[in-house]
Amino acid sequence: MKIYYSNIEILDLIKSSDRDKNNKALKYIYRSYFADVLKVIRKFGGNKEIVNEVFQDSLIILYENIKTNKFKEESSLKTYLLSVAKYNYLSKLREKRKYQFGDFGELLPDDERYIEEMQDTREKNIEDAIELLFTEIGDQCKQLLKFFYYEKMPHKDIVKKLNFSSIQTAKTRKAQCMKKLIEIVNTKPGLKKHLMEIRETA
Amino acid sequence: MEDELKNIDRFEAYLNGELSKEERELFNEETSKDPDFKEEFETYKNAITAIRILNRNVLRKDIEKIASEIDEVGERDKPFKIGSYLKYAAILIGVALIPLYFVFRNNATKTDVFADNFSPYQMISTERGEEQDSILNLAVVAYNKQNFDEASSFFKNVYEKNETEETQFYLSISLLGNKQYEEAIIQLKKLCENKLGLYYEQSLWYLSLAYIATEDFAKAETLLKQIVENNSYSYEKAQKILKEL
Repeated sequence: MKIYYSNIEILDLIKSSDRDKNNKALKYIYRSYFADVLKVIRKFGGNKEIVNEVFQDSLIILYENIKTNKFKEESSLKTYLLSVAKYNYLSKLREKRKYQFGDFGELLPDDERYIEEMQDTREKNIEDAIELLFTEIGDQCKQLLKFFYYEKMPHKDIVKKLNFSSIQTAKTRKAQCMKKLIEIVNTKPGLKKHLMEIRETA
Repeated sequence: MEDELKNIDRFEAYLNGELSKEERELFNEETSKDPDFKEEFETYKNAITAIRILNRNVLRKDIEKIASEIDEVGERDKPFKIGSYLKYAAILIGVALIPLYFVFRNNATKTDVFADNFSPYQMISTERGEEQDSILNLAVVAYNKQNFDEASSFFKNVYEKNETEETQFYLSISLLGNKQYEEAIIQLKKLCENKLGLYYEQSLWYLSLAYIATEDFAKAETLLKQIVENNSYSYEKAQKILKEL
C-alpha cells in the first residue's frame, strides 16, 4: 500500500466508481486518522468501543460528502473528519444527558441530519428488510438508483457506466426503477412506517 | 404510467430545488390539497431513504472489514507515520531552508502573525430576532460587514442584557477586530473556562491570537501548543504559527 496520499489523491480514489480504489482510500484514512479521533473522543470521556462506532459513522459521512461533491478540495480531510466525529460523539451523549451544544464550524449542511439518521438506522436494525427490498427490483435498477440517488452521479456518467444508449433512456429507466421500488415499499407497511420514522426523527 | 413517471420527475426537481417559484408554489398547493399526491411524494422520499440506507450499509460492511484487517496487523492505534527516509529528507530540506528563514524573519515582526491569521469567525445567520432593527440584528449586520467598531458596541449592549455564550463570543471577536485586545482577552478567558462550552475551542484559538497581538508570546505559545496537541479548532494554523514564533 502506498505510504502517503495527498488529500487530492484520496478524493480521486473515493470519487472513482471502482470499489477497490474506494476501499484503498478508506483504509488509508482509517490507518492515518483513527488515532487522532480516538484522542479527541477520549478527551470527552469516550471509550474505545464508542470510538469505533463514531469513527466508522464519521467515515461514512466523509465518504458520502466526497462522492456527492459536497466536500471541497480546499478543506483538510483530517480537520473535517475530526469535526464530524466530535459532533457525532456529542450527539450520542446528548441522547443520554440532553447535552447542550451548538456550532461545529466544519460540518456541511446535511451532516447533522445524516448523523441522527445513521444512529436511528442502527437502532432500528432494518438493514435486512431493506436488502430484501432491493433484491426484488433487480441488479440494474439497484445500480442505477445507487449511482443517481446515493452518489449523485450525473446522467451522462450513468449512461457510460451502465451502457445506456442516451441520457433520455437512462432517465426513463431510472424513473421506472424508482416506480418499481415505490410499489414494493408500498406493499410493506412495517418497513414504510420505519422509513417514515427515520425521516421524521432525522 | 406516464403520469406517475412524470410525478417522479417533479418530485426530483422539487427536492433538488430545480422548480421555479411558481412551480414550487403549485407543488406545495398540490401537496396540501391532494392527499394522494402527498402520499405519493412521501413514499418517494421513503424510497430515497431506503436507497441511502442500503448503500450506506454496504459501505459500513466494507469499513468494518477494513477495520478488522487493520486490527489484525495492529496498525490502527498508532498514528500514521511517514517513512524514515521521508523524515530524513524533511530534515535535510529544513536545514537547507534555515538561512531563508532568517532572511524572512528579519522582515516580519511577530505581531504580523496576528494580522495574517485573524479572520472573524463565520456568523451562522444574519437574522436573529423578529425585529429587523433589533440591536442584535444591527450587531450581526455590522459584524458581517466587518465593521467591528459598531459590532463590538452593539454586541456589548446585547450581552449586558442577555449574557449568552454566543453573544460573548462574537463580542470578543468584534473587540479583536477593533483592536481592543485587552477587553477581548477578558471575554475570551471567561469563554475558555468552560471546557464544554459551545465556543471553547474557537475561543482558545482567538485568545492565542489576542496574546500575539499584545506581544504576550509565552502565553500565546502555551495555548497554541495545547491547540495542536488536542487537534483543536485551527490546529493546523497553530502549528504554522508555532514555527514562526
